Amino acid sequence: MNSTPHAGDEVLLRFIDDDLAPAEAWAVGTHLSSCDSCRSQLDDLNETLSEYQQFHETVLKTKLPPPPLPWKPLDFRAVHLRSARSNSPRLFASTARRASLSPWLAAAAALVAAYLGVNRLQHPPVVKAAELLNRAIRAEHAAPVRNRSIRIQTRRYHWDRPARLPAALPRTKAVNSQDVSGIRLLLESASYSLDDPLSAGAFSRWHDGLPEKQDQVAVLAAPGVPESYVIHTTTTASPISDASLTLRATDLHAVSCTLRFAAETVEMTEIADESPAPHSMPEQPLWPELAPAPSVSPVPVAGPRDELMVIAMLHRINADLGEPVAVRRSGPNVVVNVTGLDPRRQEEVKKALANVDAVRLVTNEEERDGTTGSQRRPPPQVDIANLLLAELQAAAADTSSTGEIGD
Amino acid sequence: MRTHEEQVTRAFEESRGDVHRYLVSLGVSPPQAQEVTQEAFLRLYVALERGEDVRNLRAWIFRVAHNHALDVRSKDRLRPIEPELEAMLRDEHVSVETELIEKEKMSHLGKAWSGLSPQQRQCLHLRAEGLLYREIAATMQISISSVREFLSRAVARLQKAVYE
Repeated sequence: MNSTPHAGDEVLLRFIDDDLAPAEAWAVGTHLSSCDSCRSQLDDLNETLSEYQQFHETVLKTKLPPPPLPWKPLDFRAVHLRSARSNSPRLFASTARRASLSPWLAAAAALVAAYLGVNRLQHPPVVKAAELLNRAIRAEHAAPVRNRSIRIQTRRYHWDRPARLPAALPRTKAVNSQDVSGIRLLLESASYSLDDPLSAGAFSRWHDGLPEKQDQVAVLAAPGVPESYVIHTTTTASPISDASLTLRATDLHAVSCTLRFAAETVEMTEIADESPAPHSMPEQPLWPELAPAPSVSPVPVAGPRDELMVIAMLHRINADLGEPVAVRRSGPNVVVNVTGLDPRRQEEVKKALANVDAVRLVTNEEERDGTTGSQRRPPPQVDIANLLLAELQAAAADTSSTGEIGD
Repeated sequence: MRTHEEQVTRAFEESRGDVHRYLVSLGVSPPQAQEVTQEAFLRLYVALERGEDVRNLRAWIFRVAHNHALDVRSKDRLRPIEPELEAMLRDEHVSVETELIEKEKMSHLGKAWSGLSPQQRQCLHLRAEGLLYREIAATMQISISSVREFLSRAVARLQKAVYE
């Protein structure tokens, strides 16, 4: 006679699936040993589960659509790159929390960080610039041909053109230094390709031709700014002493590039609106020399990069925090107002900024003379810049938590 | 002793198809399911590299892939499964390379399966993939008692289909 209660279907299923506590399982086992009805129920359940397993393997799984592409091997290197960022998001996460920071400022923070030497790493380098460039070149080759346009800009001029230039076009036309073709000479002086200058290929050819160079790779991640990698190369072996290429992380597409020469900086950016195919708009000039006047903009405007360079230089002499130094962009200049600093300190600031072309230093005397006009009010960018630098300083103090990857 | 890269590569080769199929059964498109699968295995690698205690790689992968799939597509937009598949499985002429009697059983199971709730199907699927109840619960982010209930009811319906 079996005095224990019959096991229900749920308990029997759990008995099969080993989901019962040991005491419960013991009790069910004991009951089953003496209850034909429950044993039969258990057999039916087992058969149903076995039938379902067969259905799962032979019907369901074969009917579910397969992956559209062959499986690629896992890219563990990409994980290293991403984890380097995710382990150390402090710099970008904290700047991004500040609503007052514009997206470009957050994005440019990596460049400033590079100048400030935030990237003194304790970790071994995990991503090499050359490898990243090679991957970007492969991605460029694999990507469909696009008719994109780029802007090449110096402090005084900008030149909008198709990203790729047909090989048949003239390369050696006489140039005037005031003409944007000066840009061409500048790039040619550094053996930097003009055919498709905003590309990993062009950057890589210049980079690979350098007998001596230092590389850094930074990861940019901030809300509102597409995640990207910045390859920053410095060298003494080229007229370009300092170059940065920004690659969009999703497809390693080159979105911007900055080339710093001794007395000029060339910035290349992708223009968001893609131009139609060249054959559909023959009126668009491919070379600036052949362009009508409007293609050359003589309006000089100081850019965010100029401002960030100034901030970086001020940081080097610790003039960025706690001192009455105001920085703002105004037309062609980055105006640095040192009102309130003693003359000796003013001189130090002046010296620190001597190599930044766009700087205009405003001293106490000029303020009193009224020569600075609208510069009397402290510009709003000052606080933002100082906040940014506070973050950068904090990041520099904790090198193990920066988003920089050295090479 | 294998490195984490070797360990994850091996798990990837063994289980990626199963994980992909599970995600597709959740209503994730095949290309998206492929991306999520790849990502889940890379996350496993990161977890192992960080020294996380991952006892059952396969269960861990199903859980992370499931959650990541829900991140990729909001729950509201997740379709239970491709309607054609559901119709196909309901179809009693479903072609299976088995004996006639087996074919008939599979057809009955297909009909019963298409009448189950999405949660019941998910529980059955994960169980058939070898996950324990607690692992199914963690994957679906429900309680173990819910898993027991979903499975018990699902099996009861399947049993009815097999024996009637």
